[in-house]
Amino acid sequence: MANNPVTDHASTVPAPQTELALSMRGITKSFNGVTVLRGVNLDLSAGEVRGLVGENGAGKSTLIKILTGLYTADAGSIVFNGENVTISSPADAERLGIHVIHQDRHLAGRLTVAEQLYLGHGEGSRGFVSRRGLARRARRDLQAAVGLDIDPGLLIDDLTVAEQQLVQIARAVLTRPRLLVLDEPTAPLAAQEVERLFGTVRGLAGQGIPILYISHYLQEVAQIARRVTVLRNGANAGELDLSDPGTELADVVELMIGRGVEEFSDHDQRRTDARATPLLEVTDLSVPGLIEGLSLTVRPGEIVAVTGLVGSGAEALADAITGNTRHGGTVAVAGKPVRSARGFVAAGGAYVPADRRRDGVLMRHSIRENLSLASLGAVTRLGLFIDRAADRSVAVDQVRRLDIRPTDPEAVVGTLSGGNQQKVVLGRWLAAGSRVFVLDSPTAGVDIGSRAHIYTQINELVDQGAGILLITLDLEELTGLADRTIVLYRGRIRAELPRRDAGSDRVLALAAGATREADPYHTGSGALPATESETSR
Amino acid sequence: MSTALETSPPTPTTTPSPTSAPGGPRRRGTPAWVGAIGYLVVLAEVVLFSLATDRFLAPENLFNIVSQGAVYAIAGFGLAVVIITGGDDVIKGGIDLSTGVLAGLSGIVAAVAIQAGLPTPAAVLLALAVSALFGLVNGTAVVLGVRPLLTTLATMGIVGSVTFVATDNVKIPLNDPFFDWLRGGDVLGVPTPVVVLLGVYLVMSALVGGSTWGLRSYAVGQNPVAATVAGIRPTRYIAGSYIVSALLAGIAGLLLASRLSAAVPGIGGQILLDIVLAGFMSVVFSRRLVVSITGTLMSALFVAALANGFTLLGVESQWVGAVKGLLILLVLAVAAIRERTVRR
Amino acid sequence: MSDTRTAAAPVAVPRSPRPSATELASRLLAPLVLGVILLVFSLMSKNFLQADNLLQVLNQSAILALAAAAMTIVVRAGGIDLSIGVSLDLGALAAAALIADGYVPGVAVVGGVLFGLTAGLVNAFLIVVLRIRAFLATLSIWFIGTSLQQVLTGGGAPIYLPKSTVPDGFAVLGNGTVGGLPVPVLFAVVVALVAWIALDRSRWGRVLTAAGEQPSATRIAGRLTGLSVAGAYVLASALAALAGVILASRTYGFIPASGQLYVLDAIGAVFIGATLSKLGRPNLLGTMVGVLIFALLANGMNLIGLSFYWQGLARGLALLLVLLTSVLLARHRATR
Repeated sequence: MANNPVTDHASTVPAPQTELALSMRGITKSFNGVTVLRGVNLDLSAGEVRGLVGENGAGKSTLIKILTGLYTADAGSIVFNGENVTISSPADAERLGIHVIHQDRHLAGRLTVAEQLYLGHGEGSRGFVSRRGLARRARRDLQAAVGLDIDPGLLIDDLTVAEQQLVQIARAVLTRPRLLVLDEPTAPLAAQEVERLFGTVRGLAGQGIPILYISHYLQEVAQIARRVTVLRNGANAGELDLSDPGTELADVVELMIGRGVEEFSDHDQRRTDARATPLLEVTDLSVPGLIEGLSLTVRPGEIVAVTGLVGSGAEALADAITGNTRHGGTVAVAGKPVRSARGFVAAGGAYVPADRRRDGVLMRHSIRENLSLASLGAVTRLGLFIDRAADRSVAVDQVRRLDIRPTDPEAVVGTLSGGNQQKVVLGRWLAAGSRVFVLDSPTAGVDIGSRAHIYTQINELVDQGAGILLITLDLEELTGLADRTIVLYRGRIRAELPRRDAGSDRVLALAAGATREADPYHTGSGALPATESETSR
Repeated sequence: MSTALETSPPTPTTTPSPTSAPGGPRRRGTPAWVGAIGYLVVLAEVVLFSLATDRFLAPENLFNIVSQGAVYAIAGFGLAVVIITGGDDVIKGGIDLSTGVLAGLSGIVAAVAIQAGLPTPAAVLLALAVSALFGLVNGTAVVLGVRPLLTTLATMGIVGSVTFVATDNVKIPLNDPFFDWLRGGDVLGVPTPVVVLLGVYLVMSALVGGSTWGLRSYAVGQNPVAATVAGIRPTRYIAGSYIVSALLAGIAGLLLASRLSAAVPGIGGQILLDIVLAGFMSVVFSRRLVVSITGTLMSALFVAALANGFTLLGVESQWVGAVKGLLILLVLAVAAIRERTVRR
Repeated sequence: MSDTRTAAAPVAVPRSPRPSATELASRLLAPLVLGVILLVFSLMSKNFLQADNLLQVLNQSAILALAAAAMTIVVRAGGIDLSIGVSLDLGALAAAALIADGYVPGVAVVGGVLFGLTAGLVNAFLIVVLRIRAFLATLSIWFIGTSLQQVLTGGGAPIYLPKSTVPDGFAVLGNGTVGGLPVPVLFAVVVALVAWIALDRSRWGRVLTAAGEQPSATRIAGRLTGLSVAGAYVLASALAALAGVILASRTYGFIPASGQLYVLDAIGAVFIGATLSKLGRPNLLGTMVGVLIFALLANGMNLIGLSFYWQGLARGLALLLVLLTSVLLARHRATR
């Protein structure tokens, strides 16, 4: 079948050589009693480009951080180029020749391209740096390594995201890496930039460098990698060889999400009153460079989910809607236009942000102080003084309702587990009597038990007439809760699916860029529809 | 194994490509004129003062300016290194408040040592060693986790008191051929202070602007995570910056003592604000809007010229302070604008 | 979402609800130092623990206590105020000038506070509206304010108020006693209490504390962080100005730049005081312990005949030692 990404890739991906460059075995890691990785194995041969995929929270980042020395595994071994190695710091990883191109580009903004390129190794000879010599070298090396031709005197801050990324890659290449990890490299890139990147990657693999390619964009993984390792819930879910004609991307998706998806609620799509004033109405929302022309509504009694991959704009959506970043377009809560965080909250909005430790809970405050933060009016007397008894009773109330552990309201929130911290954030809004909730990745890093509690709360709220906007990359959560699902792709709404059509595989496919709405299982070949870039060639 | 990669790279692009998501291309580089602002301001100052009084450009006056400015500049270089390495971060921002009193102490140690009969080279070395010691104290405390503001505040109090205790709040005259030469002598016809300033400037400029140590220090200050990932250890650079700052303060102190022909307790407090001003004003002289050695030199000379010019014009010293304060605010405004235009 | 921030140093938060030995040691550090000072000096000088000496200590530390209370508010809000000395001086200047011009004490007090308050307003504008770093903004105001004083006094001339011309209502502020307690001490106690209520018992204080630690989280919760923080700077300068008014009364006049002496000690007292709190929060009680540490040190050293300069040395050392010890204890806790 023409333009089939699965069979077309065979000619473009180099055949791996047989020596094992990397062998990670039995890697286990826990944080605060929550097991994040459970006996994970990963092999990589010289010259191989291996895809590493998995849902959010599956453990990919943790595994990579262990490989690069930012974390140490609790158990397991790493054999690199035949030798058993211990990697306890980034310096160790560097010394072994293991390089990561991170999602968060770790670059110093006010350095020039040339300076950043050689930072830490080979900036100059005998301790001195010659500006001109550096620039000349940089120009030549950038061109050779990644095909980038820009003025090496430009500051990092002045480059486009794609250029910054290429500088990062060139940097890694110049150190003669013995293993390269690319973490979500194409998220900020345009189609032609992706092609350029792939060319570079293929070239590097051709030199025998083993490459680990992590991405949510399965279509792209299929173009660049032969074998794919799938993680799910911190363990190996399987390994697939995409050059095998019987293997399809649908199989990869199946391994990623697993069978027997637990439905936290088996209700039918809730019937909402279409005449009721929407609790949240977003019209033509835009955030420069991230989101454009986005409109959605949330009515009383429904859960609307929004999802999308890295680079889809989903990460910037919550801040924009709740008035915490500037945006174009309008947002109305219960009919009232809101322009600021305060306005949003005053109109009855609640926001549970993605970065819980920085933007959610007050880490160095007690549970009690956290819980009343959004409803100070209710515990203030004479408009000035906090009524301690009322404050405490609010706290006790929410602690009981949400089963927050430990139960002492004076406990410092920073000592609580992630799940309990999240319950505190939710409790804050419950105490404030909010009507519409914007939840951004609410159960990321939260244990199963707390998740269940949070889901119960969400359903209860909705049954009482509240409206929920759930922004999540967790497909299980989405399919379990959402009445309607909105899929974002590169800053715009790609599709809006009613409950019965929002199966995990469909959602993932749409988020990864598939254009045709047709159910893949009815086309006969089993392959997912082609991407837009391929059909336009 | 050939060094060139065996890929056929795709057609290189020379024009900036927009990102895939909505939004246009980013602007390319801060315009060059941004770096020129500082120089224009200095030029304006010189022109205005020389028009206002013909004594401004007289050689003895210029010598005065450079002589005083050298003290601010050299100590300022040290502060610049601390700011560069410590970064702009609100919590852990690099700052060395003890630099003024360290300069004062250095002169006192030298003077006391010479009075006690020590040969001049030994006295000078002793003074510098004492400075470095306090720099080590600062650096250690900061690396252990005490905020630089508080650390250097505490050492400022300690060192300041030491200067008073050691001298009983009395000036110690400095009569020594070396220091006389520092004040009024010359090297091949060029006055010594100018030579010393030039020498220190060239060394520091080469180190900070042209060595791997300097480059890495900038990286550590701008993005410690990026530096760590690049295999650099921020703690070494941060601790080192305080030692460098203290040493340079020590050198500045020797120069100052020679200029006054005496070691004056309490002088440290008086020059601190000028040093701080020199350090922070430095950004307006750089295209990248970062602190630099050259920028610090220009700021120091600017500040020295300011005080000098006002004195010549008979303007009371109180106005000078106000102008200094306004200058800092101006610099901060420039920095704040820079903050807004860079999307990070 | 990958959280690369977890690679950074851990948040210094107590690991368990029950305080560990090192945590208790850390919190008792400052009171311990205070105790040691009391012990050592009482052994070295028999006059130290006498009632009138201790009263003298309180009296002399009253102005610092007021300045430190002001500083506590600002640091709690997540900032710092290097220009507090300026507010103090402006308050003293205005009060002295108003008395010299024959106004009634009430006007002098209110005028002094209002005049000194302007520095706080400017600070609030620079820091909250223009978002300039607190350290640098208040540093500039320090510069400018010092010159302003010079300008207003025609080059730094002090104002002397002959005792006979000063109305009783004003003189009592700095020199009177109420039930044996000097009025400045009374002021300090009252202000400390009010500040404590404001910070730890009021709605504004709750918002301020949250904003000082995590401004983004506080904003997301719908609170007006900017307004609260601005209020902190204004209130702090008002309190400092009040201290200036009392100082003017006590010294019967105004001496330029006398406020400078209090800034650094105020900062030191606040951070020493923060070690008392379970969470390292600046607090009034701790600040007062810090003030007492400095005051008793100075007094004790005076009594045993050490010059004024040794006191500065001891103060700096005390500050450094307390901070270092506190930080080392925290590291020890974190690495266990």
